[in-house]
Amino acid sequence: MEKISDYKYVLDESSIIAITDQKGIITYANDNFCKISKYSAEELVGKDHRIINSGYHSSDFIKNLWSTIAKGKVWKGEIKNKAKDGTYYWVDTTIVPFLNSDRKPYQYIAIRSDITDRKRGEEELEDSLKEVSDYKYALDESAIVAITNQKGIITHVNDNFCEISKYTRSELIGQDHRIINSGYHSSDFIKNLWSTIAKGNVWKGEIKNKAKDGTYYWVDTTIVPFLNNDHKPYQYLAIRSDITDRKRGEEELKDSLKEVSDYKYALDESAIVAITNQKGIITHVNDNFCKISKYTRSELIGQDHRIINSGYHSSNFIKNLWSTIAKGNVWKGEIKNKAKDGTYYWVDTTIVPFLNNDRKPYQYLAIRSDITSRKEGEEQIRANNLKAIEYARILELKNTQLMDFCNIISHNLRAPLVNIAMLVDFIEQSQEDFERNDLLSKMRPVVSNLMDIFDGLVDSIQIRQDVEIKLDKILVEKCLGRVLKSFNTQIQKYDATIEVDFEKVPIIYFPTKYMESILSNLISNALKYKSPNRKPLISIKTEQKRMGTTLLSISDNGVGIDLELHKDNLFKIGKTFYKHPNAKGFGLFMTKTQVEAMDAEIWAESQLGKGTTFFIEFKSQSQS
Amino acid sequence: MPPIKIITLIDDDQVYVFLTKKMIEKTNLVKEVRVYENGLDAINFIKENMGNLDELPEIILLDLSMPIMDGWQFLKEFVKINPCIGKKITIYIHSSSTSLADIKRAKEIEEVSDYIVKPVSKSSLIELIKNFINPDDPLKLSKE
Repeated sequence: MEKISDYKYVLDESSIIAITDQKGIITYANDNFCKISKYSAEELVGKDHRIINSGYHSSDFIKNLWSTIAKGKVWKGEIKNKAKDGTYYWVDTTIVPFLNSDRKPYQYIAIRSDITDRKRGEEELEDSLKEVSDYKYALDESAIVAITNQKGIITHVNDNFCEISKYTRSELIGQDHRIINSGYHSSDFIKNLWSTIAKGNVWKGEIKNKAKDGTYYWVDTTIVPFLNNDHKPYQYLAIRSDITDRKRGEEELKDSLKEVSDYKYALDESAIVAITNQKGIITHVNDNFCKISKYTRSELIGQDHRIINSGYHSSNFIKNLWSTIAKGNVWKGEIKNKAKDGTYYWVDTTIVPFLNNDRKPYQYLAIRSDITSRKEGEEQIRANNLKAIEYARILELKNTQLMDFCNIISHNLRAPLVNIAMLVDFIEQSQEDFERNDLLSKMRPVVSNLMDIFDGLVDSIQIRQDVEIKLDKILVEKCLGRVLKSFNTQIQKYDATIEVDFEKVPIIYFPTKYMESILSNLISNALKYKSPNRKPLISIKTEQKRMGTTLLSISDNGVGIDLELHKDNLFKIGKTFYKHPNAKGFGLFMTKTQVEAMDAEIWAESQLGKGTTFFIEFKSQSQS
Repeated sequence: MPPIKIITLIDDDQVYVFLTKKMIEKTNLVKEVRVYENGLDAINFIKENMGNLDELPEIILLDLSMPIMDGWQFLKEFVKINPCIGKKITIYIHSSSTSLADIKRAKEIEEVSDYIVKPVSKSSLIELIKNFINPDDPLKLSKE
């Protein structure tokens, strides 16, 4: 008996014990029962056993339990119960019916042990098994799956594998994986794959395979080795996805990239190429660019594009270029650039802006070709043309001078000769002394006129002939001072004012002899043809003209010349425009001859009654 | 009564004018020789006397090279007013210039009857005047 009570003690200590009557009403619960169910013994005794029912088990399960024990048999099983606080616990349960003499159970003793932890582990395992099978399902649905043994023999394929490879499952299982080998990959590639997975590592890559019908397909492949306890692969799981379309796209892309790179190569070979950012900073140059500009690549990259600016083009030209490309338009033109060594080169240039998503240029590609020799040729031709034009101009001038000279002979020399001839005739025919004397007296002025004209012509020829006459450095103010001395009497008599302004150009390179003669003639004219209504005001000044020429002007407030009437004859010999006793008409002719002999130009502006201005434009003084 | 009332000389060469005037007067074919030193004086006179036919000359001998207004400029002005003049005025250019350019230019002006190079001889002068009196005379100076 003691032994039995010892057992009971041990049982009470180690197990969860409850006793119910045949109707399931709890009559006894030990401490362990109270502890796990979180009820007190008082709360349990007298209650139906369902107080701890978790509702987890099916009614079949419960029915089976009761029918077993009601028949007087022991029931063993795992039951999930609910504690007082609503938490669940699992118990490994043995229910032993106690039978009366009629062999009918009159009470049940339930011996339980807590298996909550184990059950929780089982549940988690179940969950993760579920998850694994879900994964497997998803994988099978979505991917191309195959398993091979460590020798590469296919042991499993899914439907997707069959579909893409166009083989049936039975055609594949037991086959070497090489059945779908496309022969596309290098042996190195294959070797690398096998050595990776044979070492137990995962291999990832893109593989081109061959289907049963000979077509090819690309698969993105992950091969996972399954390792045994020795960490040696015993099989391989290959998960693939079809990337045939992408690969085809990639191959097309590769083709067009190849084409683009071919273009780039051709361009680099043939043209001078540079890329600048939107600020004109050079970011790329090719070899041709370096070669023609004589800079190294490292000297150019990061520099402003102006490093090769020749300064030849106008700012308008440059402005137009930039505004064109800044608007995103292509600019084409011919540009003169300067190389590192200071030499110049011409390039036919096309600048293409690269636009960002906002349609704004973020960089410019400049493609150039060397046209230096053509440009040099063009410049040579232009220079030759200019020379030819210049020769033609000189020839025309000479011709005009020759015509003028013929006219001078015809008009100016012949007239006094005619007079002399006629006077001689008349004298011969005259019978009266007084008439003869009268005629003779008319001879003297004709002869002296003839002498004057003749001397003047000889002078003018001398000027034209004297091509070697040297240029003097003339201080205009000083030269004028010398000339004005001979007009002192007249200036005082007429109370004339002479204004001068030689500030801008104080020096003119010209033969002193001519300059004095020119100033003398023009001042003489200005004084001679003064207005009767006002005191003479003569203004003489020099200024710089655009092409480096110097303009000398002599203005008066005299009677003026009717240029409408006289424009063709202003500078001709024997022309006088006024009824003036001293007008001989030689001054302007000589002035013009002297001016033109030195390749300068003379012209006049005038208004009747207001005054006249004579202008002389001296050719570029820089090289003189 | 001489057949021609007025011959006008437009010439600034005083010696030549003096001699030519003398020569014309000796022909007794012209009542009066008037002289203008330049084209402007002459054209002004004609403009002022456009309706006064008795004051206008039958013949003008026109020099080319003159101050103020030369022979060409005179002709330019004369051509403008000629249609308004109630009398035919025969103009001869009379110049010492033998330049072909001048002769060609003169022939292109309809109002110019001929170009007579200085000096003019007495016989040529008489012929010129007679030709004016009898325009059908076969000796008429040809333009060609």
